[in-house]
Amino acid sequence: MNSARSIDAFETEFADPFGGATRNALHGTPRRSSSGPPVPGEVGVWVFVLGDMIVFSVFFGVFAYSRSSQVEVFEQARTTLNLGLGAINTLLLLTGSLFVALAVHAVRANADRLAARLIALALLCGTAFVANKAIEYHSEVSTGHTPGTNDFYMYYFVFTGIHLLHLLLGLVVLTIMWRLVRRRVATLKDHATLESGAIYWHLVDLLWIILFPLLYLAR
Amino acid sequence: MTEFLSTGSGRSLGPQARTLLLVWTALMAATLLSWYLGAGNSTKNAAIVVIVVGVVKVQLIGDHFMELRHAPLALRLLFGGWCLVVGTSLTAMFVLA
Repeated sequence: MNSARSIDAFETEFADPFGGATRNALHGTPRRSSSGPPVPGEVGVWVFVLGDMIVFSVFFGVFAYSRSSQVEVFEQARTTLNLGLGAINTLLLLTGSLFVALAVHAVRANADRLAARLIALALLCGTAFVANKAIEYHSEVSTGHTPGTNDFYMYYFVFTGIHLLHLLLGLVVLTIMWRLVRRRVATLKDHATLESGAIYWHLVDLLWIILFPLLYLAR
Repeated sequence: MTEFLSTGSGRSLGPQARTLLLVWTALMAATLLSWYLGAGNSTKNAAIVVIVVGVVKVQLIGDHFMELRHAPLALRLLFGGWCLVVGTSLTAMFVLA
């Protein structure tokens, strides 16, 4: 009785209002545990995502701990950062995440052309982030702020640098997603791959969402 | 935007897309608020607000963009627990600094 209800819930959740029998048949293939709702994407991507979140939470803690013994130094350095560029990068990542989340829905609705367009827009947002970051790094270094200047700049360059690597990998992931969607014959396995790719992109977003206030905003 | 989100068969992506747009609007507004609060000669209270706003934004991204709303409870608890721990410890460390 219970499992019948969860199957119903699954079908309702993933029912394709536009697709034909093929897509519905694909969705009918079980990608759910015997009880309860399914994991978005694949379990493996969540192991990576949660592990990465824990690593970054250690970064956040190390930064805040180091800051507590030299508040004045950190505060003085913080106010030299370009808040506008940081904020614009936040807006870019949020918008990229929206495009990717919409793309996942578009694929489920059999709207692969729309999905491809949305993923391309997300790629654009990510690329603009990289360009902004390059401008920002260049202006910091050219005004004499390097990782060697003090602890604040060291953490700033290391943490935003590691985040930037995540983002560059995210651009590769988005490109793979774009190619998958462009094939227009997404299988059930492709759906899980697309969802996992999307979850990774959102991870890149959410890590920045904490880094931004921590480095740029919080006094 | 709605027209842009047409699936090509004359229908839009539906209510889920509308929810995503609403969440995105809230996230953008929260970012602008934090930007305003963190600018210039900010205060310690503002710091607490921007950290808490950041954690709430992360939870929104998890629930809606990562679709944790429909995920198993264990996964939701892990994600929510991270937000809680990061939010409270960072706030405490900034308050006590």
